[in-house]
Amino acid sequence: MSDAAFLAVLGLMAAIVFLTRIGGALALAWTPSTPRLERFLEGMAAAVIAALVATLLMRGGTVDLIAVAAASAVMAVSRSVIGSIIAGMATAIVCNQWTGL
Amino acid sequence: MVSAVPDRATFTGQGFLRGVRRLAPMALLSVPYGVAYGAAAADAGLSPLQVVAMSALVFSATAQFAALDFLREPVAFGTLALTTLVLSSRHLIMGAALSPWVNALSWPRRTLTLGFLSDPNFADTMSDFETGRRDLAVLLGGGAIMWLQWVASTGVGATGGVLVGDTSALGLGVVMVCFFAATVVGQWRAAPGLTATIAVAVAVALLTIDLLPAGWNIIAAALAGGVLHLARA
Repeated sequence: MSDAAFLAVLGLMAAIVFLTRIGGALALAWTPSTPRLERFLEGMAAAVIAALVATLLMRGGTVDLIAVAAASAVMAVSRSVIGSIIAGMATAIVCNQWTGL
Repeated sequence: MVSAVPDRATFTGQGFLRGVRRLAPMALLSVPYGVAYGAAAADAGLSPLQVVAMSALVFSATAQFAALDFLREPVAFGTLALTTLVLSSRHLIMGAALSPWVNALSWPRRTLTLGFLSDPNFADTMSDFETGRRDLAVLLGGGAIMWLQWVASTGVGATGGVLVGDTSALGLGVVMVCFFAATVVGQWRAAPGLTATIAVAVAVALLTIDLLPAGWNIIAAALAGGVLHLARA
């Protein structure tokens, strides 16, 4: 593709992604903070990450599901993020190497 | 009525370094993914310089992977714009969730910090908030290290100098989803009151995944989680 077309693609994408990055905070910049709004935002903050995990798992395979289960269990017990990720990776390696999943 | 003033947000050099340190392992483990994207982008006809420029300015793996289908003329700009918007729309939710603190910063800091907003540093900042600190430089530091890694690894991948084998054998494919899951479990441990909110978010995300265009199911789930959390207050 031509340089001009690439620059147009780049500019369009960069502008849209940037607007989504600043848009959420900007939309609320002039809204007075209330306990109700903060409660709503607090729920949304937890929900968006949980929904992301659910979506990634739905698109992924069985190995991802088992790895996330292991990582979550380790996190629940140890509260160590790194330990949790190592557990997830180790589980995925075991699944990939020794099972037909 | 007394308005709840959020704990004052800070923005410190220490916070920036903490953000860098906290996400450095994730950045390292994500290198093969970046190399793989760079190679795919080169296959699609982009030069290394174009790949680096796109990674630096767009900084979104999902949007950049999707854009590879649009790299032929005449470019379908309308569809590209909609696809990019849909795949990035969850940033709107994350920015809104951060707004009580991020909007306390000056405009330059606010714009700079949100410019580096992505899934990993948002999740990590939420975890860091559990300590009671509200240092937005953590978000910027985490974003900066992920950005640096993304620009570098996609650039290396685009030069074709490095061959990435099957990363699934090393378990690297599950790193990000495990990190996000660990964040959710950490939030739930810190605030067990979130149980129903998390359950509803997962349910709505799964129920609407085939009904709504990709990406919107996460928005629907986030809004449902927020409303439920508010209703149970």
